[in-house]
Amino acid sequence: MTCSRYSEQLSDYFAGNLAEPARSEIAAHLTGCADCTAQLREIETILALLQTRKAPAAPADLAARLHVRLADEPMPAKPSVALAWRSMLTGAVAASLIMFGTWAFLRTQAPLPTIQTAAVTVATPVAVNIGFDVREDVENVTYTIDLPHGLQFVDADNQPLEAQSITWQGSLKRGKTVVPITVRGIQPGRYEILATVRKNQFAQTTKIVLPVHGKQGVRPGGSAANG
Amino acid sequence: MAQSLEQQALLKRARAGDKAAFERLIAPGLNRFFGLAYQMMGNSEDAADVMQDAMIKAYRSIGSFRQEADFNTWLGRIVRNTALDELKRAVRKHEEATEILPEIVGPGLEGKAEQAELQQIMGAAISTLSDKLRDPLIMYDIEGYSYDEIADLLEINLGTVKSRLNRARETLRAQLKTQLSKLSGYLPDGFKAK
Repeated sequence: MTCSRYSEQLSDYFAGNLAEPARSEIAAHLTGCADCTAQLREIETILALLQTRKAPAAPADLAARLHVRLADEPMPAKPSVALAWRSMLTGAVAASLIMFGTWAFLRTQAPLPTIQTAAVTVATPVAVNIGFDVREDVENVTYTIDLPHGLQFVDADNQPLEAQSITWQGSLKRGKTVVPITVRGIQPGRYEILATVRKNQFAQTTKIVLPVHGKQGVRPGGSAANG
Repeated sequence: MAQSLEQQALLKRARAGDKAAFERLIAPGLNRFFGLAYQMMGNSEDAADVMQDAMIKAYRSIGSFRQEADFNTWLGRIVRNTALDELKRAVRKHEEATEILPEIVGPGLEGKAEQAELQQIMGAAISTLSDKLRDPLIMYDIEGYSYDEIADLLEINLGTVKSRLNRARETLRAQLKTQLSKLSGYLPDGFKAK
């Protein structure tokens, strides 16, 4: 084996990671090769110097600081919710949310949580799939999606729509009905999208919190902004 | 890798919104991944911010964690990605004069001026490495992660971990060649690499 082949293994040799017979071969080579021996000493020095850069222990109050931040967090999204951090669609981040209705004459569940989505970048369209889970078919319901100032609906060509609220008639099918909308943030902030389904005198509204980061990384403020 | 029974129980409770369970779940990784964040961000305060942001992201997306994966690996990836996002977002000055030097932890090092010079030289050399060479180096040679942990966290195979490590060390050795004898003089007698 030539010196160049040995030199590739010197780090592993020094760390004791080489099995036999490679280890014995290198040891034997080192006894007669000043260049490789010098290289081994240099590697040893590099590794020793790197160890002087080991990080200090985490600050003693890190867990406490995290505890305080967690206290403000709503419940995490349920396992059936898929939230993609990386864009899989051209120019958009997909966020799928499932919400559960709590009408007395339909499925009865615990009060709806506020659903927190992953943060998106300003001007980046985000697809939000709002799901409704009902126990039986419901005809003639009115859907309303209200956006606060700072968010806007976009159409299939990524063109903004003027309306801040859209309403339409539809139905709910037993099981899950998914309503897709596409929105984008026009300035950094923390926004609440309100999704309401009405049937006669019954209505259920759920909030979807959408944080929007600026392109320079401006983080949203702590309070919700609602139009 | 499957979770332990205790982890599985904590995971179930954390998914249901039990924050205390989530805090217990992440506790073993806090110090370990703080080290990774520290190496990437260069100082304790930024590393602490990255850790908090990463843990909040982990809490929010815990519903999407797949049980068959390893929880700590998943957490480590979130920490690393959060640090990378922060590095891309922030405006960084590259002048050496503005670099915040890491605290010295090597035993028995004498002389503040020598310590500062040592760390500046090493820091400058490490910063010239590409991300793909630097990350295995800081994880293995500085923070003590195993090959397997590095492979899982960086989603590369073991052979690639070793080859990048070797290349990173060789790059440093070549860069520091003329200064190694001087640098080794800063180390106390008997101070050896692991």
